[in-house]
Amino acid sequence: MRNRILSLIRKETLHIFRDPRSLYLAVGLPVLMVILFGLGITFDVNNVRIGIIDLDNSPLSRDLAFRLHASSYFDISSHETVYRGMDQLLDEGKVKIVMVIPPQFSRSLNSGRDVKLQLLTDGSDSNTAQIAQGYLLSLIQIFSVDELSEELNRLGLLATAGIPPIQLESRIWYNPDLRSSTFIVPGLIAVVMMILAAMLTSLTIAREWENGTMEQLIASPIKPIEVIIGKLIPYYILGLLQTSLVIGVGILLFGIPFKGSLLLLFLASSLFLICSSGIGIYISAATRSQQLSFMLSVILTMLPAFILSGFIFPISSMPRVIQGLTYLVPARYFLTALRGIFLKGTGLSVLWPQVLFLILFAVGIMTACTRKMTMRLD
Amino acid sequence: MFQAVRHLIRKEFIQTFRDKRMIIPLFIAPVIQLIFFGLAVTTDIKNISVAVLDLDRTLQSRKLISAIEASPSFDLNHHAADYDRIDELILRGKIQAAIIIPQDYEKDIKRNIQTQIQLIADGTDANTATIIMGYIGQLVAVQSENVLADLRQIGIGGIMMPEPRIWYNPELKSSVYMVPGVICLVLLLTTLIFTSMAITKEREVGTIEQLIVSPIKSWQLMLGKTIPFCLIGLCDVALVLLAGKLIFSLPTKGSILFLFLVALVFIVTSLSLGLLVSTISRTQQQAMMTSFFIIMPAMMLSGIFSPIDSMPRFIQYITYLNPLRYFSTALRGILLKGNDLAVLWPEILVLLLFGISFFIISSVRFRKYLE
Amino acid sequence: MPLKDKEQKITQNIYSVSVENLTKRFGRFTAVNNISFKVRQGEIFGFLGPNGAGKSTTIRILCGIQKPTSGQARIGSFDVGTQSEDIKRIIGYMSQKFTLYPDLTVEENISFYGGIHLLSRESLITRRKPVLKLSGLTGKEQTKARDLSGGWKQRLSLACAILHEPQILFLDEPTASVDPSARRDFWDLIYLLSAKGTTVFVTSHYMDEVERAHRLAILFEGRIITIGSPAELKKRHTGSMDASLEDVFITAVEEQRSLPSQQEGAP
Repeated sequence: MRNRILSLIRKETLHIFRDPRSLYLAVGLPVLMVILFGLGITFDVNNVRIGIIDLDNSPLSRDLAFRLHASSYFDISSHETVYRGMDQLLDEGKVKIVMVIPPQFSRSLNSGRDVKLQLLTDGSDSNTAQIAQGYLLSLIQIFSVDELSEELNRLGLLATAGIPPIQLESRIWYNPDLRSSTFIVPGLIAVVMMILAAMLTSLTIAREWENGTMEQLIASPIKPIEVIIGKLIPYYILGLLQTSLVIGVGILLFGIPFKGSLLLLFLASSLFLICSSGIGIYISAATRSQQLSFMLSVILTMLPAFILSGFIFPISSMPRVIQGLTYLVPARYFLTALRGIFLKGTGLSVLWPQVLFLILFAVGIMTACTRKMTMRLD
Repeated sequence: MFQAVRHLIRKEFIQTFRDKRMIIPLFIAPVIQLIFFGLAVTTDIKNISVAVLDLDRTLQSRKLISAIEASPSFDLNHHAADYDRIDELILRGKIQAAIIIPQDYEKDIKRNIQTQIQLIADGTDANTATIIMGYIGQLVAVQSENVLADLRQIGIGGIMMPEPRIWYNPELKSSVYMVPGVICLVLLLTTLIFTSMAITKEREVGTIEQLIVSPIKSWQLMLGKTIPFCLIGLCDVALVLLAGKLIFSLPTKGSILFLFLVALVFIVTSLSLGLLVSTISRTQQQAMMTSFFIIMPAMMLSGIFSPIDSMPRFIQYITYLNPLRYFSTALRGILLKGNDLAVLWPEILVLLLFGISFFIISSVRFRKYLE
Repeated sequence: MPLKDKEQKITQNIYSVSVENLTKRFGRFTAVNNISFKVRQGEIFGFLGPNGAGKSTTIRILCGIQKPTSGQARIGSFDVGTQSEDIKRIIGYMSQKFTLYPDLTVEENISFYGGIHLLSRESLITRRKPVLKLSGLTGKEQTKARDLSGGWKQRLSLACAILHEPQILFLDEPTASVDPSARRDFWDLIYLLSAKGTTVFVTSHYMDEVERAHRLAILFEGRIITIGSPAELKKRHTGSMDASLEDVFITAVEEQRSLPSQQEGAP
């Protein structure tokens, strides 16, 4: 039995090395993906283009505009003093938010009347819209409080000016610089591993069916489990290599911390690789067609990896049904484990549920693969 | 002259759909992708789990707590008894933030002494942490304002009241944002990957030799290989739009015809890329991986998943080279804002330039490849 | 039961292959229609017929890689439906198309299949030289399989099939892309193997070369229309010993056609 598996591993390794293009891609793709995602996906909302229509043109309104200008969150793209259709500005796509300061702004406030400030936000990108709007509201609120306290102070009704009665003091744990990359990169590792492992393994068995070599193989006494292990091991090693590269890039390029146990990382990664490869092998064995296998594996791993794992989009915000689905996705558990190991330094005592699920899934998918690999043509 | 092309197209369709399961990735998967992206991707931040440690327990502190409870963004389901409990909750990931109200909160407010609310946030998810800071900051500012407002008298101290409105997508449905993205992804997958694989498969199997020795010209073969996937791609666009409309009430403000025309221009580019990939791939595996290698950066740096404005400067410059950037801008513009040629002509122009140049390059290479 | 005893069971059984009412349907198409025959140990048995007659399907069923729709077939004492794993240990299979690894060398392919058939390192070393010599591949060990021409590819397939000294060899159109002189050599090889006690089951559509088989069956549209030694068949259908098997085939088919129309699956 061991002899057969060794023969298979040797053969599979030869295949991998005899196709240098695929090998380079297998190594280059993960690195590329980490760099791209790490740099490209930032949910830090900065430089939101805002348009101000200032119909008051008073020192106060200019103060407000200045506040916005000084904030790194906003980029004042357009500052007009004449009325224009707000929606028109948004239509043209030059700004994402429009704020209108009404005429008599300053005078009304000084006479003790409350003034409405109209804001119109481009909702196409709902995430950015929410965040940007939130920033703006916060900024205006703080400005309002400051102005009010100044006024009250001037009138002797308040002891000190410019100090809001209630101050918020924030402390951030684990990622004091609040870098997106810290959040994203561990998730990236999971996503990249999942997609690549499934993609590569999904082709391997289907390819043997397509070009007929599987026929020869099944005419021999080889058992399904031997074929699967023989295919799994070389790709597992390749997967470990890819993972190390991705982690290396993550730490070197993005400076993400590593507080946890290397052994636990190795354990969790190995389990996850088996799960992902298992999915690829299953699809491969079920479809016996390279085209179909590839497309299905991309769809069946990309979707769960990106969306259902908690990689970018928080699971708690999803509809209940979908939240339920995420419990079936190995990437979700691996992600939790990764974030814990990298950022919080948590160990097995906290992460045992995740590890347990991964073990169960790995065993399950391998069993399913063994059943699916019938050593027959039909 | 076009008869050969017609036959080639027919053969391609027959071959592609010989395996009926191909309908899944070609037609069903796009709709499923749409459903998932639309439903699951709710970037609306809701139900963030937070805890409160109230060391004051006064009317004033309960006002703040009520404000937090009332907010749809937060789920206040832990009232902690002490700091240790908060430590534990954050470590275990049960809460993402804790708000701590100090002991003399109400007293200090009454005495006009500045008091502090402490916020501890789990920075692992920087995005959510930032949002939490923003929202709580706003809540606290409102409490501040209320305190000051009590001090004012008639004729002084007006308050600024921002009236926010959301345009184009008033319910802030992320599906609206995602649909153009899904269309792009689906088109790319179909036209780029399938075209490159289809041609490479013939090479792998050896049937391409047969075509080379026949009197078929290279341009006829090109059209014969690309038109089927162009049609399938357009079909997918229609499917996704239809599903979007039915399931998510996707707005379609602009001209659908215009949208299809723009899609067609984009398809020329992606098909040409597919041809290019096929000329440099010997096996289907190579074709697939190379296509994937192109699709990944194209998707990530296009503004589909995260706004270009938020990317680092030098990356933003790179996105100018990405046809997908212009295509997604145009798609969003047409669907959500009702943009027409007058507004979108720069994007269309760039897309045309990309399309034509890629087409020329790939035709030349394809002819060489056949020889 | 250890393998040794099982092997003895084979040799005790005088029939290597026994087939009874074997049928295989693909949807509405019947590829193999109720065939029955027996092959003796050490015999060279030919399966003759035009393309699409059902030869390859039959071989696949006998190798245990395709399930029959109905009927029975035994390789030795093992049933193809339920004991395919045991069968695969004692047979060698050479497919019609090239089913070895094109990007691996001759040497690597042989090592691989040797390992698959559980040859120990010692036996692989022992078998390697004679197998290479037998198939004429000495000197080509480092050539990648895809760089071999058609005839050499077939020899490699054969080499890998006989590596583990199987009791029964199934060869599906082994001389398909081989030139006439090489075909002769091939058949010499088959005789050699048969003399050593290996049963050889060969399919072919080359009427002239299957003459050299001990017995053969002619397959047409999924049915066996006649079976016997080449001499018997010539006498039976053409009456002349000078006739070629092609004549036999044509006559037999005509006889078949003139029979009242048979129902599918009827004996």
